[in-house]
Amino acid sequence: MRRTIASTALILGGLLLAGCATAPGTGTPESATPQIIDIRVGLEPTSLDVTTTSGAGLVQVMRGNVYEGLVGLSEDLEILPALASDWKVSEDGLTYTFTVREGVTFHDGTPMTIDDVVASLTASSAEGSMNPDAKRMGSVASIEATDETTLVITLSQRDINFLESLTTSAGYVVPAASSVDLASATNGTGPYTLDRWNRGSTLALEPFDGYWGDAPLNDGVVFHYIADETTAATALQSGEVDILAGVTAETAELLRGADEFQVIEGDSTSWMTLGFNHSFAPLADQRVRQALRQAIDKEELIEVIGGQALEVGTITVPTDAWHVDATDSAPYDPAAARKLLAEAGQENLNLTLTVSNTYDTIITEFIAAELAEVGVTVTIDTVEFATWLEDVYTNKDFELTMVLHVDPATITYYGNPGYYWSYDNAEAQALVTDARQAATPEVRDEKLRAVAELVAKDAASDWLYSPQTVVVAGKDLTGFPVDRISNNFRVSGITVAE
Amino acid sequence: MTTTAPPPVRTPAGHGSSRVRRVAAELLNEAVVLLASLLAASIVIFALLAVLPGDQAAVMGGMDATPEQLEALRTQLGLDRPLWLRYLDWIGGVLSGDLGTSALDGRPVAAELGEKLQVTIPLGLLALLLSVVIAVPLGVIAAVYRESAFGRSVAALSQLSAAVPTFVLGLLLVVLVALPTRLFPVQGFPADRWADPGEAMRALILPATAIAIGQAAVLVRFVRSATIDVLMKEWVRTGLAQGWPLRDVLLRQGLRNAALPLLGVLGLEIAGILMGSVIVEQLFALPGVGGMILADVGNRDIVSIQSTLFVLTALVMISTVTLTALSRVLDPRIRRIS
Repeated sequence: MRRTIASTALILGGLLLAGCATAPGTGTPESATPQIIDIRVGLEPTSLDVTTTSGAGLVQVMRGNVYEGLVGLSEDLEILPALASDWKVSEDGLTYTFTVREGVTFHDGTPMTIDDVVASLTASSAEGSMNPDAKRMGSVASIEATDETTLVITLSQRDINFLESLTTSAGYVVPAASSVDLASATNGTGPYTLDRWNRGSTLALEPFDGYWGDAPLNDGVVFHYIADETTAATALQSGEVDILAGVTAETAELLRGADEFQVIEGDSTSWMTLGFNHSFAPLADQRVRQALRQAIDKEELIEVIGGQALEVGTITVPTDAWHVDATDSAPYDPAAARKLLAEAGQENLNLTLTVSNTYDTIITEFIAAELAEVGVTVTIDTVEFATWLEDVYTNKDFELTMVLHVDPATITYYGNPGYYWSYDNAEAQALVTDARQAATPEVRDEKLRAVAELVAKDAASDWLYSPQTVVVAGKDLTGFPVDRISNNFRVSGITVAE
Repeated sequence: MTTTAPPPVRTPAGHGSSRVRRVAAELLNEAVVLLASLLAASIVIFALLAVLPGDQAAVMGGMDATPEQLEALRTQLGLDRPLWLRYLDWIGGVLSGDLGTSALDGRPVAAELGEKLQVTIPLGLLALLLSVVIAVPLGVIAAVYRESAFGRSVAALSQLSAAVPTFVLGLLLVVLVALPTRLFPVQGFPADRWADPGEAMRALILPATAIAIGQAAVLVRFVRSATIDVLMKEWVRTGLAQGWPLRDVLLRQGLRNAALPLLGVLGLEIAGILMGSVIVEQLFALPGVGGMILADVGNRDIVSIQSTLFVLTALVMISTVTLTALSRVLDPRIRRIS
């Protein structure tokens, strides 16, 4: 009797559970048209308004995909024609003359005129502009249309990076007047338009029929914002996503052995930077900063984080045209570090390391342990990124901090004494200015190389490593970007090989 | 949670009207307490967020903003206005049904929350249902076989499952169920929500199961002790000895004994399920309220967090109070101690 009750209860429960497991749904078969590419990326944008919002998440989705400037940027950092079919730069480097393309249509169906171009660039370079890249337009003196298709931009001083600046959000062309709310919809000229933003989950782009250039090779792209790395890996294994744009060393290792995936290492221009506050007395002493650099074993640190990184020694990576190898500027040498600290009278140094909780704690723990070896006591203060922005970045209230700098132009920040490190070095400032106003790329590279060597010698910061990007994709996918994908991720060439 | 009162006796007809009056007074009292609690909650939520370091302007500006841009943003967001004014603005809006707009993308918070609740509420209800489906049979078994090793191991195992983190349960379900069978997606939720109910349901089964297993462990204990109560009663023991079918006893007496308190217990479970949903939404990449709060806190979208937390608090309080009031109104034995 009792047994029947027990079994009835169990069977009932089991049946109810099984009843929930309805018949398997018909998943979309891989070969079917339309061909939608599903990509897992890290950060979701907070808003879609490219004229006011910053962040890698937005740049990845929009740059070159939805919005375009007069010129574009290839994956190999070449300047490409975009809304301008060609351009000329005057001998003195101050006057840029663009031939603006005709027959370009905005996503809302209105034709683009030269007035839209003038209005967009005038707004982004204006005093008090909220554009996240506004500071790149500082040298713009005037913007005018001389006829229907000719635009002349005059600079107050040379700016060798000006064309590249036009590929950022400061250079995007949006309609001078439009009823589209850019925060939740898009209205650019790019090959894709917004299909649907399912906040907190996915953002889908669909090809724009009225695109002036070559149509995308796929029928749409869906960006998946999956926070958990394990979930992302299982989503790839189950076929729910096709590409993982950027994975941790563990995930890469896990998937490297699988036949159905390709694991590709890409270049990145980013530096995990140990920032010193130069207005904090002990750190104003070069000997102390040099000691801290020499106390940390970079090779071992890279091993600790899984090996997916390069040793740098300064603020350049091998793919920079101005790259210098400065790994010998601070070789790992605890004895030398102790000696330097003794010379500086800092045998019992206590430092607080303020760090955003977005980074793996294993890195800061490692740094603290290494510095303890040479007699420096480190207190780790982990805060949210929003708090980090306020305390460290805005109010400069910190001693040591660690942050991943992803702007390829980070080297130029060493010429800005107002930047959060408070690094005030006249020589560096002069070199950065010379580089910006250089007449040729060669001169610029020479000046930047000098900056990279100078800040390494001066131990302006410590550069722990440059993380390499690893992209994992299904075997049959082609045309996906792998280099510098955090700030340039063109998706129109991605396709599935039949 | 055990009650050893005699079986319920019908209230004599003459006392009907006074009972209605008493119940009405009780409900009114509950309502007043509820409103006061909600007001207190709104002040606590607002105050906590006001002292949170890091502000929205800094997040919006990011690492590219100049100090001038930040100042302009703060003014634009009204962050330079006095606190009490900002509180009154917000709570006044909420009371008139306007939850405010997100400063980040200008969307009404209500629309955003509605979208997210379409995931979280079905997820929670499904988890609640599954936890009952799992716990009731197990609890009854553990009670009937309490003397044997089998019954003890059922009780022990269900207690053990309470110790396994929801996160781990979710991962196990993905690895053991989703990947091999391909019956369920391992992450995500249809962008068009419930347009295809089957698809939406498939996305919720595993996450809901992960929450339900942990919650069921609590319920098993309750069902077990309520059932033992019945079985231990003098007349039930006598009846059983004389050959009453155990099934009838359990169904009639056991249910009667356990159903009302169960309502109260379920009310208490709601908060636990909400906590569990934050975890599984993260693990299964579901666009629900949990993920929304996490993202909003990271982005310091204060208006959105305030309204969302307040709505959730109200939902939990109202459903808990409703369930306990319901069990009171339905159960003449429960008396308010005054």
